[in-house]
Amino acid sequence: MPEALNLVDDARPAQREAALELLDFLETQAPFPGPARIGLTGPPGAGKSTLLDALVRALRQRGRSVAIVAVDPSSQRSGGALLGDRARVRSARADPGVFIRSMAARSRLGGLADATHASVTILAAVFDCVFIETVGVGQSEAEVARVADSVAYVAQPGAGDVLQYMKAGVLELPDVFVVNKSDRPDASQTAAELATGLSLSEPGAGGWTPPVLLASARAGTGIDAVEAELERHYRHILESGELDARRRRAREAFVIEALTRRYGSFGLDRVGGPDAVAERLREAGQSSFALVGELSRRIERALAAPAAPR
Amino acid sequence: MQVNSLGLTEAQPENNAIRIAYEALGVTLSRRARCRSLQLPAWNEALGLPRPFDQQWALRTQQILALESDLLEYGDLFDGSSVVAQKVDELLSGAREELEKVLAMGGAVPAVENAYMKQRLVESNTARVRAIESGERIVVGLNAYTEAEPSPLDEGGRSILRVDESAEREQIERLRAFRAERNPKEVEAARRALADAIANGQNAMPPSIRAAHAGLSTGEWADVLRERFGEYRAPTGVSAQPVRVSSESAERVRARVQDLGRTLGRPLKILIGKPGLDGHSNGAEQVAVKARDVGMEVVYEGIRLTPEEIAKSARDEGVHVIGLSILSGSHGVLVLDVLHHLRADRAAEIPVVVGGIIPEEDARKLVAAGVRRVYTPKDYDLARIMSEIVDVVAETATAA
Ligand SMILES: Nc1nc2c(ncn2[C@@H]2O[C@H](COP(=O)(O)OP(=O)(O)OP(=O)(O)O)[C@@H](O)[C@H]2O)c(=O)[nH]1
Ligand SMILES: [Mg+2]
Repeated sequence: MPEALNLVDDARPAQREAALELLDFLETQAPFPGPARIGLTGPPGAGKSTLLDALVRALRQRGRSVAIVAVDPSSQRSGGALLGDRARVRSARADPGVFIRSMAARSRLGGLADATHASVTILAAVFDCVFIETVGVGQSEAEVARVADSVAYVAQPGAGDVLQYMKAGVLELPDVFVVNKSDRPDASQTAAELATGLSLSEPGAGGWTPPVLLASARAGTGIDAVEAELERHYRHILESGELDARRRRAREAFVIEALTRRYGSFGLDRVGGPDAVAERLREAGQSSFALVGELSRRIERALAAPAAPR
Repeated sequence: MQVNSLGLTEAQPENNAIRIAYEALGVTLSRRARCRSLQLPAWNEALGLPRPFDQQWALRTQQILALESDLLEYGDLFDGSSVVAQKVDELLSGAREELEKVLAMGGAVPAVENAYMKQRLVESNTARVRAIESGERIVVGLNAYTEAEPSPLDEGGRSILRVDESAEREQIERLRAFRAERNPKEVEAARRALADAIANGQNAMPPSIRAAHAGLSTGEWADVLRERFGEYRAPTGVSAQPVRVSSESAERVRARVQDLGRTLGRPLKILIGKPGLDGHSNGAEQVAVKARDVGMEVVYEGIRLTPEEIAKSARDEGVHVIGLSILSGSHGVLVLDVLHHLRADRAAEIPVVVGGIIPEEDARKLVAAGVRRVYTPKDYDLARIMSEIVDVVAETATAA
C-alpha cells in the first residue's frame, strides 16, 4: 500500500507508466459504489484533524477500517512543507486498521496535492472509508469536492467569520457543516449565523439541505451526529444517482487537470478540449488514468507534428 | 527557580560549571528579586544523565554562594541603579504587551490550545539557534575558541550516569508478579465500573479508588480513560513558522534537496520522531523547521511516540529518511527498537539518523547497529546536518 502511494507520486517516466497501469486496473475493477470518500475542509486550526481522530475512533469501534489523506500547504518560498495532521490523529497509533498519508500541496494553490485523486483511488480499493483533509481558504472546497463524494466543512466559533465564508463563496459546496469546539460559549451563535447564511443562499441541488451541526472533537460530543449525517448524505446521493455523477465529474476534472498542467489548455485543445474528455469518459470501459495516458501520447504527437500552414 | 540547561554545551563541558555558577549569581544577586529556592543543573547534562557526584557538585556551587559569600547580608544591591531600573521597565512593558495578547485570545488556556505559546517558544529558540549558527551569538568552546586541551574530566565519554538495563526488566517482572496476585474478577468489575462512570459523565473518583484497591495499575487505569477520551497531543508549535531569510549554506542545501527530489521522482520526505518519554522537543522542532526551510517535506509527530508507531508512520508516509531525537538517555533501547520494528514492517531500507545527548561510545554502538549518522549537541550547524541527511538519502537511493 505505501509503496503504491509512493509510485503514484513518482514523476519519473517509467514509474509514471507503471502507476497509470496500476491505477487503470484499480479504477476499472473497482466495484460501485465502494467506500465513501469524505472530504474535510475548513480554516486552519478549526479542528479538522482532531475531529477526524474522533470519527476514526467511532468507526474503528464498529470494525471499519479507515484511510486518511491529509494535505497541508507547501511553503512557496522553500518548497518544503511541515505535515502536522498526523500528530493530531492519535487513534491511528499502531492500529493497522487506520492508515494516514500526509501530503504537501506543492505548487497547487487550492490545497490538493497532485497525487490526491490517484491516492484516493488506491486507498478506496483497500479501506472501508477514505477521508481527505485539506486546509480550506476559499478554493480548496471546490478542489476537495472534486475528489470526495461528500464534503464536510469544519468551522470554529468566532464572530464575523460567517460573513467571510459567504464572501469567499465557501457556503455553496459543502454537504455538511460542522461548527467544532462547541465546548466554547460562542459556538451556537456561530452555528445560528451559519444556518441563516445558508438559508439565504440557493437551495442545494438534488433536494439535499446541508445540515449545520455542533460538535466538540475535544469533548467527544456531537461526533455521532456528524457520522450519521455523513452517512445519510452518502445514501442520499447514492439513491439519487448524484454519487455516480460526482465520481464521473471527479474523473473528468482529474483528466483535464493532469493534461492542462502538462500541456496547457493549448495542448488540451489539440485533442478536442474538456468536452471531448467528458465524452470519452462517458463511453464506459476506460479509466481516467488510461485516458490521461492515451491523450498525452496524442497531444505529444500533435505538438511534435509541424504546424499546419495557414 | 531552575537555572536552565539549554545553554550547556557538550563541547568543552567543563565550561558549564562556570556558566552555571554565573547563572546562579544572576538569580540571587538582587535581594528583592531573589529566587526562593534554586536548582542548578549539573555540568555534564549535555553529555548524559548526571551521576550523584555531578549533582553534589551542583549543590556545592550554591552552598558556596550562600555560605561563603556575604551576599545574604545586604539589602538590595540594585536599589538606585538606573541601568537596572530601565531594564526592569523594559521587561515589565514587554511582559504586559505579551499579557495583552494572551488576554485577547481569551487567556492562557486558549493560548496553549491554539499553540500560540508553543509557537513563541519555538520561534525564540529558532532565533537563538540561528544566531549561534551564524556566529552572531558567541558560545565559548562551541562556535568560538574551539581549540581545547584534552580534558581529564571526560573519561572517554564515561563521565555520566549509566542506567543498568536490567532495571527495566526487574520492574516489569515486579509488575507481572503483582498482577498475578490480584483477583481477576474484582479487577474486571472495577475496570468496568470506571468505564461506565466516565461514559455517563459521573464522578470518576470513587470508581478510581475502588480500582486502586482492586489493584488496577496506573497504566491500566489510564488505558480506560484513553479509550474514552483519546490521548492529548500537545501542539507541536512548528507549523506556523515563517520560512526565514536564507543563508548561503541553506541555499546550497536547498538546491541539493531539489536535485535529489528529481532523481527520486518526488520531493525528499523526512519523518522527525521523538520516541520515548522525554518531553524535550527543542531539538526535534529546530530540525523539523530547518528541514522544511531547505525544501524537505517534513512529517513531525511531536513527542512521546513508541518505536512501533514511528516505524508504522515511516512506512505509511513513504519517507526517504527518519530522524530520531532522544534526550532521555534511553537511546540504546529506543533506537534499536525502532530499527527492529522497521525490519518487521519490511521498511528496513529506510535510513535512520539519530540526534541527542549520546556519549561517543554509544554512538559507535548505534552506528554498528545500522544507524547512518549520530548527532550530538556539539553539532550545532543545522545546515551541515541537513546536507548530510541529503547524502544519506542519496547513498541509499544509489544502493537500491
Ligand atoms: N476547545 C476545543 N479545542 C479544539 C477542539 N478540537 C480541536 N481543538 C484544538 O484546536 C487546535 C487545532 O486543531 P487541529 O485538529 O489541528 O485543527 P486543523 O483544522 O486540523 O488544523 P490545520 O490542519 O492546521 O488546518 C488544537 O489545539 C486542538 O486541540 C474542540 O472541540 N474544542
Ligand atoms: Mg489538520
